[in-house]
Amino acid sequence: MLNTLDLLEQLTQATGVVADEGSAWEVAAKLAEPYGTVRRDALGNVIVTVREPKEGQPHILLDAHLDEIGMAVSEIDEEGFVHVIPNGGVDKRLLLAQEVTVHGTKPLYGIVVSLAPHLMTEEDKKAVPEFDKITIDLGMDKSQVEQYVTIGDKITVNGKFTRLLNNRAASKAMDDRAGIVSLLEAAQLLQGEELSCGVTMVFSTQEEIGGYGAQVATFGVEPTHAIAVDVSFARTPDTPKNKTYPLGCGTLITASPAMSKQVFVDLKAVAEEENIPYMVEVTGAQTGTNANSIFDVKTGVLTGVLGIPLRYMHTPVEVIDPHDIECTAKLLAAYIRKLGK
Amino acid sequence: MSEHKFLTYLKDMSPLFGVSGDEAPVREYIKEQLKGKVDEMFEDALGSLVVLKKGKSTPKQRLMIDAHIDEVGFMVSEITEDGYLKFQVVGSINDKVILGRRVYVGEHRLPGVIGTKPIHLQSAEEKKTPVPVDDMYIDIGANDQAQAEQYVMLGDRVMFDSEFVEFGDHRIKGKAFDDRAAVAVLMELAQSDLKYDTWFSFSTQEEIGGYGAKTAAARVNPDLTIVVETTSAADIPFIEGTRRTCIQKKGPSIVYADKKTIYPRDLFKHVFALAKEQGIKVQPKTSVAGSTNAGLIRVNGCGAKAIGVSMPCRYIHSGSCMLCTEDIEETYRLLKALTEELQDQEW
Repeated sequence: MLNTLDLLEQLTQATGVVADEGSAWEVAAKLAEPYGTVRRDALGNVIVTVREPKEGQPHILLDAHLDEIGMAVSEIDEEGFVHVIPNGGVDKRLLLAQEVTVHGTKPLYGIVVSLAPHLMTEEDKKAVPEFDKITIDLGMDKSQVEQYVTIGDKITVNGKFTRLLNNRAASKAMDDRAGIVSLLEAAQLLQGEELSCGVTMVFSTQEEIGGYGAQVATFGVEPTHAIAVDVSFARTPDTPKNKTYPLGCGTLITASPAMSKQVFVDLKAVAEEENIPYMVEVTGAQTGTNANSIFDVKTGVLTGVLGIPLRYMHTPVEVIDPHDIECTAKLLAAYIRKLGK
Repeated sequence: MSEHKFLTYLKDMSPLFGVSGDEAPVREYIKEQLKGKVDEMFEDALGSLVVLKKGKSTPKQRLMIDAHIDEVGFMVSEITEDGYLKFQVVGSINDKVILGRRVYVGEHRLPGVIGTKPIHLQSAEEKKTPVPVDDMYIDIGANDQAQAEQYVMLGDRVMFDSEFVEFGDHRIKGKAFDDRAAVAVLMELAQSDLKYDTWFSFSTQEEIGGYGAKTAAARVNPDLTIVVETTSAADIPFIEGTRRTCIQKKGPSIVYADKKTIYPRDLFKHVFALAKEQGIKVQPKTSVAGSTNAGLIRVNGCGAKAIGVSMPCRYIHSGSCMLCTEDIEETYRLLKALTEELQDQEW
């Protein structure tokens, strides 16, 4: 088995804000090289042909998204402070005084501007600033900043990879680099095995703004089957029990009215046969993953969703248990073996 | 930077554990560095370190220069059944700079994170309301209470995980620059050749009221004190006028009044006159906010006259304190100049 935490560290610490998947695609592409031929399409999706599809045989697409949430530069003001807009669902409540990187012509260290508690009014204390009041301090004046920064440059909140007890870890961008790790591990589990089905991995772009990468990748790949792997909500003291799943419980098999019932039933059967820990995640609507952009492409794709429980999604301290990633990889590999018998 | 040592000291001390009431690592570092280079060192019951550096002569007026070694942070107050840590804030930290951070728990620096409910699950109201610190908890990855208790005890201090960074135009960032930037300056000053005998207090518990400075002053009984601090620089967007308080790159700010002290006018004016004469950058602190150890030192014994010198620090009382090294340099120059002449005059 590959070392899950090492892979996660490499992938999460790379930069890939939505629609500019920066260094993340290169890191992911390099890690995928041992498992197939790698190409990119017009939207930047990394497409890995693991097994060439054969006429009349199933062809499965495995999806995990490459992009992460972040911000972009909207203005450099007279004093050199950088003003921002969000890219994806950024939580304003935790931004003040965060350490960030502005990805200009070189990565620049910055701090999100925050007023000292000594100077805050009661109003200030109660308010969460809107994005038009969120700015970044690069410690430079306007002319210095303009040497490196252009409007539209991406910004990430620094979320150092931190190992916790029980082999768990915290980082930015676990969403959805954890999914990419599960795909890489599944490909490794299948290495050298004879399979009749085609297998293509897609590390897709632009999920955080609507799943555009997965849509066009599916159009090009033309799979018969697809499984989207994304993070899902792990249970914490401040989240509702009915929408969350315990960290470390294994993989989450999603039941959704938009997804293929057959794929759901088969995934569950394989998990049972192979003794892979899992829980069922039920959603009464669309899934909140790339599967929404995959299942109805062209004449339709038999699509399923696997989830990896994640605490504190869309924060720089997303917490994951590698056990859940490994369970997801095992289930993907076992399902594909069955499909390609 | 020049041949100054203060930047090295600050870089070494910024990551050390020193949340109020538990400052031993910082105190030990100072003792180690000053050993053999000063004339006397005392550690008192509250943990404050008092240092005497003899000069060429003993002056009429006894001067004590103070900086505090403690920092704002947290204390573990509960270990939950699920293995999360509830905590209380030590000192003044705004709730909004606590959420979404990495922290170290206890003297063995166990890593933890302070997360929150994902944005997808927040109501419209929740999205625009700061999370109160009482609702936050630290996640160390423990399975349950029993496992967490193997690593953590109630009362353990918690600090921000924040690395020392040099960036931008002579800027540095780290935790606990308040007040270790001043500690670093005093450590260098205490090793320099001084004209007059000078006392230094590296005091504890400032962030909870200044008690360490009170006991240090009781030992030294100074006639004069210079309290060296960092203070809120609000030279940031959407803040105008005097509320900006002080501006980076304009040297240390001199305080005319804070929440506990109105500083003597003669000394306040003298600092500006001396700085002008010697070409040292100084600026007045333009808002009356916060307080310093001067509050307790000036009422020690029969009283002492105080000067407040504060370096402009952005994002103070967060894990991302930011200073300009030029301001630290100017602070060193100002203090050096004051020690040359302040103590031989009647004030």
